[in-house]
Amino acid sequence: MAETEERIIRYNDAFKETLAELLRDDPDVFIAGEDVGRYGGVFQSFAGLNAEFGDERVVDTPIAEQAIIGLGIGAAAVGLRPIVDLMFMDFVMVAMDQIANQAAKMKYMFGGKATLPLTITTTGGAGLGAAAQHSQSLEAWLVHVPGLKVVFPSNPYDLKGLLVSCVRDDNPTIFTLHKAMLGSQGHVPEGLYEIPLGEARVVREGSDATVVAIGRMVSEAEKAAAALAEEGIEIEIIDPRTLMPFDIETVIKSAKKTNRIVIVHEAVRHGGIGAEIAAQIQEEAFDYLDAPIGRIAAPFAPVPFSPSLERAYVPDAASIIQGVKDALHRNG
Amino acid sequence: MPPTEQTKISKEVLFDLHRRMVRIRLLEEAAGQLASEAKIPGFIHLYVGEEAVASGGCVALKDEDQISSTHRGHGHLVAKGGQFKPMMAEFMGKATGYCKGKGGSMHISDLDLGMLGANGIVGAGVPIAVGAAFANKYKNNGLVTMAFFGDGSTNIGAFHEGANMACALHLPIVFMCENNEYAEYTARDRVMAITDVADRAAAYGMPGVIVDGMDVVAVYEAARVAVERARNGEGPSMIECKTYRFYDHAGVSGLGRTYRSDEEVKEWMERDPIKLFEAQLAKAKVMNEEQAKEIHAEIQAEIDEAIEFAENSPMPDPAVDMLTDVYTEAS
Amino acid sequence: MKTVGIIASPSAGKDVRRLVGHAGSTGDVDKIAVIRRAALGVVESGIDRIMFLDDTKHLIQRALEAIPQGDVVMEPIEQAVMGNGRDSEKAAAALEKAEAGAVIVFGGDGTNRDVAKGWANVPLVPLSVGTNNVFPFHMESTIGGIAAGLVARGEIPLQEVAERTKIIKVNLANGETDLALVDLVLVEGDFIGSRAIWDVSNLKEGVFAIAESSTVGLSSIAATLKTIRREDDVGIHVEMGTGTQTVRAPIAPGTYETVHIRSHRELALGETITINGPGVLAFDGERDYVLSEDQKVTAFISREGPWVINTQRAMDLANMNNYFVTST
Repeated sequence: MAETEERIIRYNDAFKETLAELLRDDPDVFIAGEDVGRYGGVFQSFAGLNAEFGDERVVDTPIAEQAIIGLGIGAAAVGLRPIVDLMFMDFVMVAMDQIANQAAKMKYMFGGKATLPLTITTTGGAGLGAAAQHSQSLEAWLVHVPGLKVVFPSNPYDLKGLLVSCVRDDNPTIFTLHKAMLGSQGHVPEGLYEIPLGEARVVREGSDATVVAIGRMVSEAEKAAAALAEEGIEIEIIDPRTLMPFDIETVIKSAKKTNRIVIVHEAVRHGGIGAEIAAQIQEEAFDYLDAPIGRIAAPFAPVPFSPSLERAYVPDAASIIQGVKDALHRNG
Repeated sequence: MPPTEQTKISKEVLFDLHRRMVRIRLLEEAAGQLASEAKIPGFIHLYVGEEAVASGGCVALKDEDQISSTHRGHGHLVAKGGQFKPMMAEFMGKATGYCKGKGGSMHISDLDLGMLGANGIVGAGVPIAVGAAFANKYKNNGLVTMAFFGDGSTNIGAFHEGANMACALHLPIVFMCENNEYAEYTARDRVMAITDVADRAAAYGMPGVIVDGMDVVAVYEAARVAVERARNGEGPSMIECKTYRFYDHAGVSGLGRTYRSDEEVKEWMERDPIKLFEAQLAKAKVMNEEQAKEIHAEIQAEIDEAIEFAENSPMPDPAVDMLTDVYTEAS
Repeated sequence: MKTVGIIASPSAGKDVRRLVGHAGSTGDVDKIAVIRRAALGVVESGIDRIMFLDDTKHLIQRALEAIPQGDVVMEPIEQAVMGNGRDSEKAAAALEKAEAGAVIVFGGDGTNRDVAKGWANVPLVPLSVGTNNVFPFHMESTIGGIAAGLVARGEIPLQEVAERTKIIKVNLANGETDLALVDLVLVEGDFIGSRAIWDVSNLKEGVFAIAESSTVGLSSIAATLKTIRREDDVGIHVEMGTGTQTVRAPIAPGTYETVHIRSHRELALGETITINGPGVLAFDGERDYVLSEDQKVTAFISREGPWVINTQRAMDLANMNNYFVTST
């Protein structure tokens, strides 16, 4: 979309604006979730939508995550295009049967007959002192389930394009906002545009190492890149944007170019998405690697509450810099 | 409340109720036989004994209305218009089945018939039915959703969430409880402090009634009123049908068990819904014994044909079919 | 052994009339509390024994478990329960054998009818937990309980506080007999189905032993034509169908309907009416017996029903005798 002038808005406002535009664009789209109606959502991500579109299209639901997802599944199966919200990504577990056993499998179990254009929006990530049950990044749980698409935008521009694609996709998608990024700003064009699901973005080109960063870790990687550049180290940053489908080609291409890979995500390292990405890289580009693939991620503990613990728990620019240097120092 | 025409039921409807019950019974008996011969793989949960519930419920619906189902779902699909050939093929895991052999007995469905799927997770169909009912209200299309569920499912969270949400959003839905007194192999009174699931309805804000689930006319009468209520925008209602599973939770045995007595099984079998109804039809001079026999024979022939079709159908090809239908490809 | 019997219907208050009319729902938790209050009243009366029908849901058992029982023997009636109306009928017969001095029945018209079938001249305190009931009382069960207890103990003479009710005696086509407490109505159709009746266009004719202007149900149709009180030694026969009159009547809670009346006439006690099939006979508002084309039944009203204890009169009498007052 050609833009003569940059329009800088907040990540959270980009979400709200996109929802409003989607509701205007397609009468089959509706939103349902806890507090999304009159109140506008706990993070005000839905503010004003109920007033504009009414109770029929922006629906306050009970605190009932299984029924919220079920509402979306049933409505999608008979022809609507629901957006249902799980207030926090941690609540995915409460609704996991409906997500993983129902939504994800319905098409396959029914021999292809079901079409489920269902979007589940949620907020993940730590950084707000929300502690162990309101701070998790559970993408690894979701990408393990065939039938789901998993999306994690890192900036307002991608947020809009990816959300539009999710809602227009005929599969169940899980779209995760990062709650510590809601106030971040960026360029977002007016009007609807799509960013294809399954296309990574090369955020920054570089030659010395590749950092694959997910969600809020992209901005930390950018900070790390700026600091490393001052030391003469140029890193390439790849933002997968969607974790399922996953654009492994872009990552492999970069691996073949820089020969060193560091993967960074907020979820715990053990069994995290980084392990899957690393495995795929070594399958496709083993001979190109000059160092073991680095994984920068959370320690194997629940997300802690105390600011001192939480700061140390979540990867940041400093830990990314360290990870890159470790990869570089493994030379020879 | 507009009173529904009652007690005088047309001959057409009576035959329809009868036919659907017999179609279920004969299909299930055949499926049970094939399962015991290992011609049907996996688990099989037979609907024998509960035919009046699915039939009475579905005859009260329009073709376009939706139903959700349970792990004991064959009867619901047949009652909603399911055909024997693709059903039998699906039971056997054949490519010609309703689900191309990917779902099997426990996930059998046909969305074209408004059947939202048999479901391997107890209670999970309820929230999905609520979603379909939401869509009906949203589209203002005048359609109704009927959620079939067992007594056991009313102890699981998804059921409570769905029932509450349906009432909170005032949706066009009928909650159709098949209370067969056993949650798998555990008697209801060991796991519930109440006897009547209908008692729960008031807690969500809907009327709940009890009918004899072995009497198809009783089920049909109640279902008609509940469906009419839903269609008129009067919101959800619950019908608890007291019924019984002639066979075990899974498989084709039913007697000599520790969890229920043979005497009890035999007592319920004396109230076989098809035999009861055929006696009523004979007394009303609607259908005599001979006519009933002809109908059984005609349906049995259709089933035999379906078995032959299924046996001669190809299995799905792993090289081709394994990875299709996981996702909907962009058109 | 001075005995009060208790019978409760496990199914009362839950039928399809919650959908077709606006009847209230009576959950079992409520029923148990109502029974428990009555039992406390019975215990207060100083009775020796409570004998009860241990129904399929153990409603009474559960009601009795939670109360201080004093010296009162709580004894379940020994019988196999089937979960239908026969349970109440058999229990009533057992209570007659045990010479119970009063029987408290929790249920609707249907349950009381079952009890009357089991024990024709049962001394009865009928307490409503059913639907649109004509026969039982809508009253606080604590008082019903103690009144039953005082009568059963002989503190209050039954003859002084009870009236023998009318019943409609029915000779069925197969030679068996049956009875209704309030009304016997023939409707078009071939099925018992969900038992309730809500489509008045199907009504054909009815015999009414009671037709009071203050009750809802089918008997309200007759009441619009002529009031027949419990104590009146007459009944009424009404033929429905297109004729010279229509009436508006509350045939179910909150449900007024227009009913076409062809004819009606008073019935003397003992006067026999023949009802010809086809159709379904509803006893006290519930379809229960299918009549084919070539079948017929005969019916007449008699005063051979239960002795219904007037609890108000019983308590007035007790208080008049300073029964509850002790000088200090």
